[in-house]
Amino acid sequence: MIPRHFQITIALLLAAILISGFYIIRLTHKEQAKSLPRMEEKLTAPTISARPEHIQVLVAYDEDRALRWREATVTLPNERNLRAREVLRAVLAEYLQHPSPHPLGKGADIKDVYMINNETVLIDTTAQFADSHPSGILLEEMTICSLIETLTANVPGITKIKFVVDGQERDTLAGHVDLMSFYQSSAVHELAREFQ
Amino acid sequence: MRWNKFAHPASRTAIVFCALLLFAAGPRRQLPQESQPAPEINQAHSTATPFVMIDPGHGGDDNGAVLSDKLLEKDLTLALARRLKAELQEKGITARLLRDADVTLSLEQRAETANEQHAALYVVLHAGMPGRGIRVYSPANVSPGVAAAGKFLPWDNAQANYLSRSQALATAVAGALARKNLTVSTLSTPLRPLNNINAPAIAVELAIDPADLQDIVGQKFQTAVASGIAAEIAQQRSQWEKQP
Repeated sequence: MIPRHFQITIALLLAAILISGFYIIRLTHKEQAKSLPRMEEKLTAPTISARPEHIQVLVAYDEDRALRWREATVTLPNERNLRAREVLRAVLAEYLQHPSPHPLGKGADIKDVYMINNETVLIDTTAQFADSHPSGILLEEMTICSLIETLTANVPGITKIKFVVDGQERDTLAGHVDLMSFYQSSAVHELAREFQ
Repeated sequence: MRWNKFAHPASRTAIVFCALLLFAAGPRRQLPQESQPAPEINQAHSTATPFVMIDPGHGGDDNGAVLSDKLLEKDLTLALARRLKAELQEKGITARLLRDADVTLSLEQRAETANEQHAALYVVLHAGMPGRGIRVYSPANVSPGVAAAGKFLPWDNAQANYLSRSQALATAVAGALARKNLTVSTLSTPLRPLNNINAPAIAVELAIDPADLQDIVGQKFQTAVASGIAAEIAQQRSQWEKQP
């Protein structure tokens, strides 16, 4: 038989636990309600001015192993890094359509473009861009040339370009062409001329 | 009580310290042994005889391009490399294979081996789509940067002093292959590890058209390619033997 005073103590303790639990839940709700409007304020997207522009994109054609300039209409923001990303995406859009002149794997995309300074950019691609890229010296070189040439033609002042894949450095694009180096736009221009 | 003995903060600190010491000095778990054997790199020491280093592209875990259901780039490059070595040896030229088995070699390891052994020429073999025939590449220095400091060469630009010789060799090899009635083109490329090689370096890529696959894997085609490359290397022997 449990003594009466012990029963009363347990009952009081249980009641105290329930009350404190209820109080904590109420406090949490109160805090969440306070912080929500602040978060919404923080998450407000900055106003980006963008307008459709006609740009030149250098497109790779596997069938005749050539690079040719084509016109594309792209909505381009004014900010240089966003503009660079959209320009590069315009090239990839050519390759991701059906039929494609230079097929790339599903999910190939440009995640972000970082301007290290006015002249140097870091292009961060999705993992699929490299993982599903067809392997071959010529195919990989054509991809790199078309991206860099299109970028430098539409975002003036860029002279050094480096690629990373999903935020990480890679030796090669798909087993052949160098992804470790900082590409100089003038050297790539000479390379691209071999395909035109 | 018994625990009162250790109630003093200094005693407690001492106990914790002893426990940590015992943990650190305790028996270690055996780390699992590396299951993968060390790659069979050509470890021959450098000799005074100038030699051609032949690098069959890819290998081991790195299949390279998948050329058909049954044919991988790494196997085709190794077969062609063995043929090229035999052709060079027939002409009295010493040649070494960077890999003579299906082993994984990093691009750094390939360049390190060629440079450490002082290869007089470096020829890397590849195969890939699209097109038909053979493409002969010379290195493209896409990132000209740091200059050599005394005896030390910047790794990324080790090829810088040999670019014109590599271009001349690529053109000459393409000419020799064209004389064998093969379809040939010459290009430059930022292919790794060409720019890390401290010697004249070229890449030869068999362009694969799926319709011609039977011919490409055949002995006749591969012998024609290997003998064309070997003939030109032999022709230029007096030039590349004068190193550097």
